[in-house]
Amino acid sequence: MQDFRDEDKLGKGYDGQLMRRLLVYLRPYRLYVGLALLLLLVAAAAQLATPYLIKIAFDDHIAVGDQDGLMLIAIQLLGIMCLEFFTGYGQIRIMEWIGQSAMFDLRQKIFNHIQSMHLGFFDKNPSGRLLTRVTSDVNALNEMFASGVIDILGNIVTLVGIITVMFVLSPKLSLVTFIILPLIVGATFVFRKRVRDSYREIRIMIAKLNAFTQEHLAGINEIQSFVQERKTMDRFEGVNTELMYQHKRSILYYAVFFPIVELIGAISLALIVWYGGGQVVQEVITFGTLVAFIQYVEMFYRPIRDLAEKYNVLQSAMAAAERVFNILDTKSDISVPEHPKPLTNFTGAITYSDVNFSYNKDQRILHDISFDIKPGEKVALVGATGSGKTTSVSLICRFYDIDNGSIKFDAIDIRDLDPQVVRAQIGLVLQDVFLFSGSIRENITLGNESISEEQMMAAAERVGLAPFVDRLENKYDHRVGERGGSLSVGQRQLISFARALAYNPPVLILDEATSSVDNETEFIIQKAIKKLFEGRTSLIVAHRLSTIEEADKILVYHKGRIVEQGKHEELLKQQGVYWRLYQLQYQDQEVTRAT
Amino acid sequence: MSLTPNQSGQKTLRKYYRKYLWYFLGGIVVLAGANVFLGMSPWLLREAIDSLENPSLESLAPTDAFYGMQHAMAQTATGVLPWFALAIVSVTLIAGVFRFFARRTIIWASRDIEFELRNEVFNHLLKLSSRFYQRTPTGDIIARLSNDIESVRLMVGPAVMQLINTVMVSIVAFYYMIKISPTLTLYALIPLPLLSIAMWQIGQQTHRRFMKIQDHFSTLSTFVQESMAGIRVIKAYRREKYQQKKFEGVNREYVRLNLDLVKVRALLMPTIVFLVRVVVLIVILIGGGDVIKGTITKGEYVAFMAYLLMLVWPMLAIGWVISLYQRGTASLARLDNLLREVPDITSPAEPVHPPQIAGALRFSGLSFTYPDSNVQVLHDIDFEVKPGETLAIVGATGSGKSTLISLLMRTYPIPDETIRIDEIDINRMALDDLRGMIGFVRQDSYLFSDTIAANIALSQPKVDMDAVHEAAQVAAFENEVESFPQKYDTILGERGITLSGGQKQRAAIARALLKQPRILILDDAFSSVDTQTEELILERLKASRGNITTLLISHRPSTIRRADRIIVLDGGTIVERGTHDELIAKQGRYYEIIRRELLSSELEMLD
Repeated sequence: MQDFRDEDKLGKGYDGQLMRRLLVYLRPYRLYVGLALLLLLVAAAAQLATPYLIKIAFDDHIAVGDQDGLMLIAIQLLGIMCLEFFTGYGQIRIMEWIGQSAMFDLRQKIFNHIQSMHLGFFDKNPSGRLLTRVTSDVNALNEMFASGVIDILGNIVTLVGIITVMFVLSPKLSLVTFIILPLIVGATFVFRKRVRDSYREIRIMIAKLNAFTQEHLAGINEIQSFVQERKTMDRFEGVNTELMYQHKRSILYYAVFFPIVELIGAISLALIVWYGGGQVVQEVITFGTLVAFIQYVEMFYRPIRDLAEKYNVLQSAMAAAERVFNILDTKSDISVPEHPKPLTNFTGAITYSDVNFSYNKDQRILHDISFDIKPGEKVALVGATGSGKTTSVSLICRFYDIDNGSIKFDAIDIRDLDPQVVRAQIGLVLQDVFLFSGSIRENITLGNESISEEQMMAAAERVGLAPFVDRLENKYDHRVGERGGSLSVGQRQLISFARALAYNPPVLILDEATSSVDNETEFIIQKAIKKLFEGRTSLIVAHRLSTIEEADKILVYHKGRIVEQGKHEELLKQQGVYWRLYQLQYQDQEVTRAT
Repeated sequence: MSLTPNQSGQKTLRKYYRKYLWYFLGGIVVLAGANVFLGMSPWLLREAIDSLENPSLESLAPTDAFYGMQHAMAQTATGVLPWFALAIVSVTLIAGVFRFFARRTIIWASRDIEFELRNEVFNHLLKLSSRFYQRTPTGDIIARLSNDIESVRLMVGPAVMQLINTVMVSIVAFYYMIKISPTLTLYALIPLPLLSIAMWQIGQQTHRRFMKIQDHFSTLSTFVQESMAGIRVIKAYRREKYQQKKFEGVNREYVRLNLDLVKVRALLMPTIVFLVRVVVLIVILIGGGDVIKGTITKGEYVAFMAYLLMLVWPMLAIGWVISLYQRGTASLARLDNLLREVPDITSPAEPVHPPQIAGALRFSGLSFTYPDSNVQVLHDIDFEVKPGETLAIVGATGSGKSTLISLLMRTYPIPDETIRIDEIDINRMALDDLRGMIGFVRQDSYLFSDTIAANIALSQPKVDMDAVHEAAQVAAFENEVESFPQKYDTILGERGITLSGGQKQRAAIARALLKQPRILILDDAFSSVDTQTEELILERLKASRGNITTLLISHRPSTIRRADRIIVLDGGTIVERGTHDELIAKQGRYYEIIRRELLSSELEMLD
């Protein structure tokens, strides 16, 4: 379940440092950014040229009754239109390409980073939240990458262009027109501040409402059994009312701002008519200039309004960027030694000495775990749920670092080895089989090209998966869904066994599944497990009596410690923890086996 | 999206349209007013410009003799100009006031509708049963409450306002344009059909390409999701690089599809601008000619251009309105599906209101199958509990214990006359009455992120601290709460402290007790509480609420043996029943369960 309070970084303003970090992703494409800017300049120039052409049309042609000259203007205008069309189209495509490329890079970077994180990271961050980082949050940056930066520049360029042209045409009239410029700037400034505050309030209220909804739907059983529907509804309505008020407050801002911008526009038009009209009469400026001015003023307000809006885009991008960088800034807890020791001719001997471990500092899971496994030995770990068996074996893969003590491969501490080398020695079969959506082949080889088709098939054969696959229409190309939907529990286990065999590691770690399967499948699985053990050091978190009896050594876990170790018969005689466990969990299997 | 849900979705909205009808009508009026006044502005511009023109001046030679006169004429023109300027500002100001009220009515009403619709949906959600919540992810519901309601609002508010505005602008602008020159208007409109064809084409293409992106987006999401879920396998088999490479492919395809969309979408703005320019071009050529010929004045010419520009954005907004409408109806259909979800557990039309509840329970011939499954979890359950008695239910995991007792709360529909309280069928009672008389404590009770006092006093309209203290005392929670710095005002959950499992269970017990129930159900409610404390709570319960009928599920032999009677469930059937001593003597299923429980508690005791 996602926590909405956390998801909404509320009212994040513009942050220069974040912005600089984001701009780094545009650096590889700076040439294209330059090109887009160039096209933008051309498009802006074309846009500015139109009113000017109209001025010429008036002054040089209409005023003197020159119909042919008008045609000439029309042709020029057509040329400019085409230029505007193609530069506009080109510019948008280049900008989008830049945006998509930058997002591709960022998405890839986050994904790669997440993949490289230690397992504890995944325990803390629910996968839903990580998914949001890779997908929605990156997409939220699109508008900023693709259009935000360049659009803002473009708007500024257009504004400067308009002002320049107007001053060239008539400095005096320009001055008069721009008397109201401070008004528009002031209005925009006030509006932006109000809207930003109101936007923040709204975000807070929405987060509150979402949190309330989530919490009360999660507790719906309680609400219904305590007959609290009415009270809950009243409280929901309370939060909802606050949200509505905030929304209405922002409606008022917009309702005032837009007419004010229009009014300011009308004031400048009025000024042009008043002062400019007089100047036309006095023949200080031409009639065409007056018309051009009217059109330029019209053009002037759109970029200003756009700029205010683009600010909001930047704001939401900032919030997403911060979440994304938070992930990128989290470093993996598992450090790779700078000069890893080589592991040559690993025999499969594993030594645990006084291993202590805790997921959280205040809660120790394993206490002083020590044992020795000789090459090729089969060791079964038994104990009640939560006694530390699974944790204990997952430490060999160096998914987590231990608090103190040591785990050694042939007398080399695994922390002195490259984690990749450590994991290459191990075939891990988890209790809950995970299958990727893809073919059965892919699920066995996991895309490892060094495993040949023959090796893959041989592995499937040895674990007894082959007869099942042969019955499928597409054989090894048969697609299995997420979590292996179409397959039975037993078949999925066999695939994970085949996977371990195909990789042929010197050490096998098997976390036996507790789920019950039918007798026939059980028989196949037990045979397959024996095949897995052949010729390698094996650690098994065992639930099957047959597996336990097969073991060279049994480690009995109890409350995070190893309390007894030895062989089945010896341990039974001790009448200790194992003896009780046996009666609780394994005795029945003996009974069913007997029948 | 099929038509049926859309139409019924509109029905959901109809009552709101009706309620806020005056707002919408008012909106139409003020938008009409705004555009009437805005439309005056170019016309005033025309008058002003034409006042600059003085045909008599042109015919006169600019000699010294006439210079004074010319100057005088110029004086007149400049004399009226300030009045035109003032008029332009005034009509815009009046139009602005109207515009303010346009938002104040239509957008305002849309927020009210949003508010009420959200209340309606949430209120409905509160009535739905476990069955609904088991198959609907909370995230999905929240998305509907926020995103879908927002798209519906955009449809009834901004889209409606924009549509009305476009109509009004068109009426006003065309009125003046035709007034200036019907032929020029006709010529100027030539590119309009082109514009709509282009928009439609681009829209079609965009839609198709967008759907492909959506499809691929879910592929990408699934891939990422899987890569997280399968991280242990990936790490153990060192497939990080392979996954990264595979992701690169998925990622690249996503970018490719997006750029494919851009190819078309990038045409949108340039095409619009181009066609608008075509109109301007036509007006320059033909309108310019008209000015030269003298069929229209310069002022009319400038005003004509201004009206054209007035039209451009409202016309373009039609595309936006259409997409808002499409999204709005789709969202409305989703909301409507939710609203049409019929609560499967409701009070009967004419419920029996039992005057006084003694607390006698009778289960007779109860068989039960979960909806949407075909495995029967309970078969022919028969037993009764006398008022004030305690009945323990034991059995292995999955034997149907929890299902059995949760049915008493009517969490799922059950056949009539299978469960009775004081000989009244629970299906005939009002839900509030039924649930009000039962205190139900689950193993993993849910506490709200509120104060401890508010959590314990959940059943009360106002927190009565005396009652809270008493309930906490019986639940052996009092001392611990007193040790918290904020005592009963301590906030729980994400924003406050996290209680341990045992503390949570005791808070839940206190909460159930404060309800003053006639029947208490404890579903493994002591699992995280240590044995001594459990004994203490049971003692206090007996002393203070000895007359409550109690049903309990427990694993602790010490608890089970306290019960007056015990039933043993196996595979959904009662296999044994009797007192502790009777069942032990029988050496059957119960004996075996107790032996195992003793073994595992022994194991638990070992160090």
